[in-house]
Amino acid sequence: MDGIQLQGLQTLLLQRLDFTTDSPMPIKKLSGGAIQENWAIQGQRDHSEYEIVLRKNAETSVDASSDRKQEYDLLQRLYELNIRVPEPLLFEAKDNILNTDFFVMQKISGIAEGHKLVRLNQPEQQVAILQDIGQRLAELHAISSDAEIEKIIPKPSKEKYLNQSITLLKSQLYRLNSHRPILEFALSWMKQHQPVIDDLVLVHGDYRTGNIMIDHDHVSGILDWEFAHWGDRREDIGWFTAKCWRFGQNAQVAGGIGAYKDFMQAYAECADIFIPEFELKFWHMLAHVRWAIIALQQANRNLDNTQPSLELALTAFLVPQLEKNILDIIGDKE
Amino acid sequence: MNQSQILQLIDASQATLKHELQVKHPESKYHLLMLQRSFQLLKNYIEVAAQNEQQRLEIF
Repeated sequence: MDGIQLQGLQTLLLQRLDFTTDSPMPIKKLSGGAIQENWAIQGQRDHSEYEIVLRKNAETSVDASSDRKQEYDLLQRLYELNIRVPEPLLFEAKDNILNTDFFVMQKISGIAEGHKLVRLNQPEQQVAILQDIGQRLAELHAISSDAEIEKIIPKPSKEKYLNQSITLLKSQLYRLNSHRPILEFALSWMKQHQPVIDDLVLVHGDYRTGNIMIDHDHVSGILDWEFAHWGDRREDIGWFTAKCWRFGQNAQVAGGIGAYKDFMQAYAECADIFIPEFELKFWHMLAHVRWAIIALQQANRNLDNTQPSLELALTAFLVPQLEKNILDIIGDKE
Repeated sequence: MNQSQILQLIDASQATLKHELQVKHPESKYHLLMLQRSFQLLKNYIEVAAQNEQQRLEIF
């Protein structure tokens, strides 16, 4: 953001939110967010200290992510339903000072960095965190479908949902024009081993350590709703517990933080349904294939020069490990 | 005993777990949910096996 944009933003925030800041505006880009950019801004509102986060599209994004308007509308609805999300404050469509859709939300306290959360070395705190993560996920999955949410995110038919997901991944892989036999084999395996779908719930789509803000021993907010859709609850559970999201703490199945049982007991008692770990084989496959394709898409953004970035370039090196994990999952060696 | 009788028994067992035992023993909810899911998976397995058998025999 250049000086003129920052000045325009400062004026907009004052006019629309009564949010004042020092000059120059204290704004800092937050870590992560290869697909979206998040900027923290410190200031005052109602005569007290207040922090906001501005979320905007990165220069280019990946196929499966939603637009900012959809994410903002969903955030608003979830906030009304008392799901633990940051309070959405303002949406601005593309014809604006930043020349892209963006929205502003309240900044919530806590840490989300995966590599820190998986190395707490505080067993009691880790159990408490996992229990809260399980309960919050159960709350999300308990949201009843209504016209308002379905207007934001259309609901597919239960029969078609999984086939559509696999077909979408296949077409994304095809468009990458990259020969990845393991991913192609994995997609073929998934097509043939589709589990019975119980019912469709609202899934976050990226529910993992790193997107869940933790304040001491509880969840202070669930972030990054760009992949939310209607799906099987095991999609979120599989994503959260997949090896690729354990930040190196592979023995700690639940997000690298702790034991599956601590997470699942809290989830089950709140959601009235228990999911055994062995049922997640298909969903762990899906998680790894999906992440591998996103990683390849991100790497391509650097390769085709649409967004030159070392971080994006390095993402390509994750793919062989993801493929190794896929083979381990198929061979029941996980 | 045929397949539909087994499925009926599973349905009845699931209903008992949900509407009677869970109410009487809330402290055991987690373990009762495990049992319920076990029955559900068994039911799915029987139904899928039956479909596969039908396809193998080309009975439609």
